[in-house]
Amino acid sequence: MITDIPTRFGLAISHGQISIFDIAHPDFPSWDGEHVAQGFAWRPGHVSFGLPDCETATVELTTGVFASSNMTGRLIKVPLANTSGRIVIASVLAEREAYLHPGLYQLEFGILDECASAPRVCVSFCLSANPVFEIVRQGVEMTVAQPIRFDSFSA
Amino acid sequence: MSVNPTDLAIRQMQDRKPAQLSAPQPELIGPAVLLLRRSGLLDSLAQGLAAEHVRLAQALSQSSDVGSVPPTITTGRIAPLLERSASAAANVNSAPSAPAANDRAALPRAGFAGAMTAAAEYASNRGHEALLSRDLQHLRGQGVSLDPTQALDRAILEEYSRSRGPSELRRLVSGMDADEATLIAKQRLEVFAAPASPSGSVPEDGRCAAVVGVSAGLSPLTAKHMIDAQSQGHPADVTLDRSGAAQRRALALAGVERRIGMDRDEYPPATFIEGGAGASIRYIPPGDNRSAGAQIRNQMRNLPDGCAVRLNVVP
Repeated sequence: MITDIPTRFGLAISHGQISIFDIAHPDFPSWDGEHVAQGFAWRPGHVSFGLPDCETATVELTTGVFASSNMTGRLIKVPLANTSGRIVIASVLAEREAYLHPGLYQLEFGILDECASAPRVCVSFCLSANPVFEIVRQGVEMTVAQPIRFDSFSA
Repeated sequence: MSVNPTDLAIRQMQDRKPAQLSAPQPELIGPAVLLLRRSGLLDSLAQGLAAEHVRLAQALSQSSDVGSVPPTITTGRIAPLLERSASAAANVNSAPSAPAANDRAALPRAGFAGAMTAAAEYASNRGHEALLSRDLQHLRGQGVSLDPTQALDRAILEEYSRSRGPSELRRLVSGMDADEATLIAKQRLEVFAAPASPSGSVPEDGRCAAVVGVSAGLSPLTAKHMIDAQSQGHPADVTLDRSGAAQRRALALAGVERRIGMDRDEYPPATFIEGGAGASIRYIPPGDNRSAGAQIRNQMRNLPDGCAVRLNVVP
């Protein structure tokens, strides 16, 4: 269960990305063309998802249930290890911190409308013993059907 | 899955590299750069390095094996420059012998530091030439013809690949023309010649001040936008103000249409008071721009609003 954070909030966006990370791994990753193609840059404890160029986004958080059925844009699944119990949802410009029970999560990231000037982003956390990397549905700028890079380094 | 030829070449180069070439010696970097600056060789050496870097990189990108790098690649223009610096560098004792703390701080940006170290060693210590010769002999044994300064370029590529990863090297060499490389090489020289200010440093008066750098290696087009905008009069010295960032970004981008597959990069960035309406806007490919945003974010994470920030380009 997520506490100390609204389950829906606005986030100012720049540089086309939203990062979700264990607070112990705060550094944003460097991106290359393959990361752009798959829609995310990942390393243990930190994942940054690409967004179409926009100025703000509305972020909706859920736990224990995926919101896949509502999504029309990209839908991506990645593992996220949360060892500290504190996670951060952040852009380059702003961030929100929340408490989330420590554990290994299947993180699902989706965009409701890829072409909106202020896209609605859904983020779901489900505890999972065997989380996977999966591109369920591609979005704008994404050119690969399945993840190809499982590494990134601090920018 | 097919392996990119450049990745393969770099991997093979790393397998063959002599340890001596890739071990930066911090005590030589500061003096070497100072001497190069004093001797007036900064620009010409930068241009020579850049040209040779591009030439070698292009050859590598077209080759599946470093052993097949065309022997016609020569570094005739740069070798004399290094020779001319040798006489100055031979008098290295006249330069500051102890490295400044700032030089040490710059060492993690080892790409060019490693090259400068090698240059200093090459110029001031003929023993190093023997090391290079040994390396070259090894390569010649495999039918490759390289001269010492090509080995220097090779060291740059190796350092870059090791510190940033092969894919970043591939991106650098595939997306750079000679002008950009020259610019970057000059900046690298100047960065290491200038006293570095660690991010988040606080002067004695207690006012927060910091230097935030965007890497020309990781984000060449965003870095170039920064340089161009500053040369057009946009400020390098800015003030952090996260609270007004969203509004300023909206003002800066008003009337600037979105383009699929590109990011709109603004300078000064909206997170600073100086951003907003009138900012310079340029379309930048997402990977380049996202890496730049990540760098800025990482360096400013612990800085308070109101902090005075100098934005610059780093290697």
